[in-house]
Amino acid sequence: MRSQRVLFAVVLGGTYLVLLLCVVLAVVRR
Amino acid sequence: MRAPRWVRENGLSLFFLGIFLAAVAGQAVSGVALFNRDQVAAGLEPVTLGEYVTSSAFAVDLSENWQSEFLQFLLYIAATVWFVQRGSPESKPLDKAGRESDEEQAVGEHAGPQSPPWARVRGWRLSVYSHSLTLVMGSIFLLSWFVQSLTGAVAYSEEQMRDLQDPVTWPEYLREPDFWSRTLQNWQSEFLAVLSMVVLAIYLRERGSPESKPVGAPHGATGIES
Repeated sequence: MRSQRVLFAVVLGGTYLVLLLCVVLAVVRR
Repeated sequence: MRAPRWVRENGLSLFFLGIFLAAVAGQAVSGVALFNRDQVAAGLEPVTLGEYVTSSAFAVDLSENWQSEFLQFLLYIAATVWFVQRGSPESKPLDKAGRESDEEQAVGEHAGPQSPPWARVRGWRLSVYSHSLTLVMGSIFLLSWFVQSLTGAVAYSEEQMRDLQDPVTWPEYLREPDFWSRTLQNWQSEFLAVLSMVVLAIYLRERGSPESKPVGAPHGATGIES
């Protein structure tokens, strides 16, 4: 089950990370 | 040559991860070309690929599609609890609509030794875990939609200024047709796709797909995936 846990973390963490990055960039760069 | 075991066991995820990354890369490359055409036409300097993928123009295109996809699955997961469709493999059997019993859901004292820890206890942890999929899909939908509105306001303001018009604030952008047009054109296509999936799979089949009924299953059979 270890690779499933890695996949879960990559997908969930990656999705939130990209969205948070978008917020930060939109606020900083405007 | 055989693929390693971890590749075979995670093939579905790896396949979609691969085509997702390829599509995002394609979106970035074609997006910057389109963006720079408008820049040059307005007498402005073209931007690099790095500048483009960290711009609000790229972020709004990304997030408007994300929010609608997560909304689609959120509604799909939640609506299929309560609504059924006779003959559809996507539907539960007609008499199973609703939350189902603790026994059917294997929670509390009905949980097995392999059940997740939060399915074995009563109280807030069971409540949270019982809705964890919609909670997470819903939070990603709301965050994506918020990102679309924020980056959309910035990108729209940049376009406005490029056309020598006034920029808009975030609350003003929420009332702009640009925001609602981007939002609703994505929603309508998602809703149609789910409707098609639910209805077409009553009569049509794909041999071997768990999303389809078995090829020989009767049209009237509901909620049986092969």
